[in-house]
Amino acid sequence: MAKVMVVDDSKLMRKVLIKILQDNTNLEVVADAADGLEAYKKFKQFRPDLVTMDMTMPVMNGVDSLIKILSEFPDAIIVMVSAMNKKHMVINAIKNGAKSFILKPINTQKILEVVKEFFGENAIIKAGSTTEAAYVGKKDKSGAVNISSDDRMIDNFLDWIDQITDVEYYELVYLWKTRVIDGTLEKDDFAKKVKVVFDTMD
Amino acid sequence: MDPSLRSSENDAELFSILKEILIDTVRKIFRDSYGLTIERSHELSSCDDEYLTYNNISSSIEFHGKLVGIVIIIVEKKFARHLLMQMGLGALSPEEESEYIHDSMGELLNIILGNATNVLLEKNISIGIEPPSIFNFENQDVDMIKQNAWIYQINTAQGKCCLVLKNN
Repeated sequence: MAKVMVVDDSKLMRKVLIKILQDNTNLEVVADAADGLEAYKKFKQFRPDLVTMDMTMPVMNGVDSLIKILSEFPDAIIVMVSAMNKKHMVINAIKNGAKSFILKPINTQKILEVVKEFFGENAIIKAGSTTEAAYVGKKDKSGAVNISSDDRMIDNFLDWIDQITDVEYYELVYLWKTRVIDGTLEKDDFAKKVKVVFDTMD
Repeated sequence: MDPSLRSSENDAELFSILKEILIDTVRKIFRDSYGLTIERSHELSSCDDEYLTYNNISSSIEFHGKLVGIVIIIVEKKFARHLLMQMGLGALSPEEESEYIHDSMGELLNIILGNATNVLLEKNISIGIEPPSIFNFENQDVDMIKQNAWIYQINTAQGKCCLVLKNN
């Protein structure tokens, strides 16, 4: 799973960006930072595959942070985010190694375009499966299993699997495609695991 | 002509351009990004001190370059709550709301001023902006802030908002 770090001096914007990424992609948000210097330190610690970097920040601005990170990690993918799209600022950021630029106000579509650009369609969780995918992704492996099989629930789950066949590493999808299909896991036992997940949903 | 006089005339012209751009930008962002319907908007010759200081959310950004000054946004709480929801977090608990509401106004002003500077640059007027800060009128001399300030009020169904532009 690809890792992301979100950098913005606004706590709100960090939360919004993290929510968009967590709700709509299978990227893992491993860190966030409130200024360019903190971003540099956390980059060294977490080595994210993608960084969203605000440009106007206190302590160290986004472009200086970009330069500092790329001087040590030249392959880093850093995308600048700013309300200002002054030509010279964008050119300066790109010239210094930024891979893309997002103009504020941000929205889900703008963020997903960037994610697709670097990680492909497979990184996007399709509409309608977001909640289920998120829950399955967070599923408690121990799951209390004293529940009987439920065909309707399995049917729903299989419909859902059809929508997200690319997201193979979610545990239940993986179980279905390997151990259920090849018969090493009973359908009833699989159903119990699915029910545990569905029961935790709103 | 006295060079200082020419400079101040020039400043007045630049500020006039900035005002027009701010008006267009704020209306566009409210409409396109936050789905707000503007019922009325107008310049104020003065602003009620109580409105400036009582129970509203304020944020400010300083700018510099060809123009130097500060822009302050003052927003009614219910309006701020609406914008906060529109920014992508949905309904928040009271604790979360108080945690993010000032930040959201700073971000809103940053977006307004950032987008306005993009338009200014198309007219070859370059200004830089600082990160937003919370503006606390209770700690400021309100008369000093209002002196020579341009105040623009926007009324929407979700509440009232004021922009204050001051030349340093």
